[in-house]
Amino acid sequence: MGSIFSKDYFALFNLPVAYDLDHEVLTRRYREMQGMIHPDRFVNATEKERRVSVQLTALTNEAYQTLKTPLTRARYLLQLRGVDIDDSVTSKDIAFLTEQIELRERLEDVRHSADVEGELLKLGGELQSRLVGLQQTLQDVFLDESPDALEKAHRLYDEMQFISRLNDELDEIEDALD
Amino acid sequence: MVLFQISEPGETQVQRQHHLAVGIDLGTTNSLVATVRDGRAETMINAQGDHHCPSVVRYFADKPPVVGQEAKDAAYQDPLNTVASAKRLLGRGVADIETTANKLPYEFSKSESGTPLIRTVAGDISPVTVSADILKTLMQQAEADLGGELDGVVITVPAYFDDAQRQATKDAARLAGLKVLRLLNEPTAAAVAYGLDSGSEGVHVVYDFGGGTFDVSILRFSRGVFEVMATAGDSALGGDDVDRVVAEWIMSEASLGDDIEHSQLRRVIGEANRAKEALTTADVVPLSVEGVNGSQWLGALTRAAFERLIEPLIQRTLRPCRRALRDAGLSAADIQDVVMVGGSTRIPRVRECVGEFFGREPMIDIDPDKVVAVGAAIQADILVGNKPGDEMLLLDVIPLSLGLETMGGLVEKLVPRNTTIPVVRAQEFTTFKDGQTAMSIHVLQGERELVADCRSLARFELRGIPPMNAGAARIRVTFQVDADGLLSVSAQELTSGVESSIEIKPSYGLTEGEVEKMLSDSLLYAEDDVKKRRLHEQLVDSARLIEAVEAALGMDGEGMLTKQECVSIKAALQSLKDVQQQGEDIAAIKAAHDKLERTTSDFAARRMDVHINEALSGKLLDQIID
Repeated sequence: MGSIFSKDYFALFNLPVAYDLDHEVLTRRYREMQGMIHPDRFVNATEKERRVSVQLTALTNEAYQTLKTPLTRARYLLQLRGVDIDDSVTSKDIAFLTEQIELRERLEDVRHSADVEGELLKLGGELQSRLVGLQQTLQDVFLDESPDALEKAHRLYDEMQFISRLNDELDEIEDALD
Repeated sequence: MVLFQISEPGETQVQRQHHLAVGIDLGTTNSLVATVRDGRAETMINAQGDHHCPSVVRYFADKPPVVGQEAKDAAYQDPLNTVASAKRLLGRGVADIETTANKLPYEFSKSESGTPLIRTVAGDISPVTVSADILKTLMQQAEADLGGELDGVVITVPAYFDDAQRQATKDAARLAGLKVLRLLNEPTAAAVAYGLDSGSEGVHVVYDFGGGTFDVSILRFSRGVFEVMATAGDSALGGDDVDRVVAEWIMSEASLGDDIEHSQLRRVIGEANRAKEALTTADVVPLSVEGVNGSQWLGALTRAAFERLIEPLIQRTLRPCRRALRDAGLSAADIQDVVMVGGSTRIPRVRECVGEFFGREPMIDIDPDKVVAVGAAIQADILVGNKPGDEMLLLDVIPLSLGLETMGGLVEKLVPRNTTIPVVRAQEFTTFKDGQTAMSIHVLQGERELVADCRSLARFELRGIPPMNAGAARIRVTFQVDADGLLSVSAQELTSGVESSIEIKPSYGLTEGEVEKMLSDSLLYAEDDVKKRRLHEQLVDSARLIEAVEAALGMDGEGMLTKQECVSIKAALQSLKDVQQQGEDIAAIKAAHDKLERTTSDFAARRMDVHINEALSGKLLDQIID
């Protein structure tokens, strides 16, 4: 058994490497681990133990956040399967590119609309259901481990990431309203 | 100094020494100290029989400062030497307070590092020193009550405090000679006190409107774990501002100009404060202040007029509430209950607005002034080691995003707000000139894109990068935010493995050198006292280390150590015990302490790894769960 710092995130929580995961088990194990390793448990320990505790807790937090969120979980899984994700490369999928432009324009419209709040809600809702759909598809695609499927998963991930970013920008517009 | 009794594993548990620990709510207007006695957490009363100590310090030219009610009573007659609400100045720069300062009745000067100093007859005083003086008073009160020196404290801070404000609080504790077990966010402390009391699991909102700060936190409480889902707030919004808008109204009604004297401004603010408190129950309150040319101005403030005056302030608290809900991914309907904390939640209109916003009656059956100190005391009792096996755990978050300055004055976010702490993030940098051996990293905190709109935390100078061609060096800079929410930075050049040295220039704080100087200055006029306290701290630290090492040896010494390692550790342990027993020579104890730390370092790392791996191997973990 190697050092805990070298385990992959799934192994860290004793979970099978898969996109579809049991959130309840993940959360339960995360909390159990925190209970063992959190710096609050090492206030009276040696300096070395305190330092390891902070690093280990930070690792567990990072792993939990990564696996909990569908987008980062997909990214992590792709990386585990050897896909090199380069955010600076734009998609070659023309249909998706066209859609990106359309969605961007709609986002700008929201920003300048008379009823920003209402439009935010509308576009936000659309993006949300789009994300849920993508997740569903991704779940099935990830079951297949062929190179073709991996390529498809990568494309789906790119789409998810774009939609998520738009969603974040909507949040920022909403933040700025306050 | 009695050494702690150690129980060997397997032996029947001997009575552990009870460690003395308190929780301190270091507030803008009032501070409180609480402790756990016979299993019950309660606030402690001072010699005057009060739970609250006004956070006011009066300085004199020829004698030590006076803290608390006596200082507060003198505020009118000696406004320039009597400092109130110093918490609003903690971790702030001179530029920050210029807007606030013309509303504060002091005279300011500027320290070398750009932090504001308050001009008094005792010299220029840093807000950190004022806070340290308050902490010292609370410490003495607690020690007199508990009959011994404190082993550790938990100090609460507003959840929305940034890194500089947290660091300033910790510096104040250090100046006061306190061992800080943890800085705890105020709403989290309140949730602990409230949640443990009511035992109600689910999602709680803590709306904490205090004297000078506003916080809102959303927490999930389940099986002893308090998990902060989101926090938001305004670290410069509180009851002080309520007093101020009322004072401004009085001044305009009484035709008083902005140029009134400090002492009269204090009186008007005092009258405003009295009116605010009276309007909690009364519908109208008569007012009286000295008007122009010494005449007496008489007037009245109705509750309706008061509510109109403060409506904008209440609205300012609801914005963070909206943002926290959004960050937590929740709507008001998901909230089980809303806990009201802080004196300003006594205002009926505040309760009404919060009730409307969350669509439910806020909980007001707990004392909003004491709940934070009580929660801190509960946490202190656990952290100091009085409740082994207690399952309570607090998972808190960083309130504001951390970022780095990039090209063009932009901020690149490294750790987004509401990330669970501790958190470690690494970023790689490279050199852009041949032979470059140093570089500067600017760390900022805030949500905006431009450097100018975020709060500058510090500039880190990396030195000792091995000279290479431009772009060849790969410097990995690691940012770590610990469980107190405090940032530290380390750096390493990856191709050579050389650790770069880091010089930290805090933007709004004291440098390590300044804190050391303040410590040695205080040593000048209280040498014996400070020396004694430092020795005590060292003895407590070393006793802890001895306890930890003996427990570790008992549990894992045979399985994980070679004979040689075991011999070295036991020798280092014995050396520390010997000097500890004599209990006099602080330098010798420190040296033996450090030696033991070094000798056990590998053993400690091995133990952590093995135990966590064991626990993770599945069975054990699932047994715990099911």
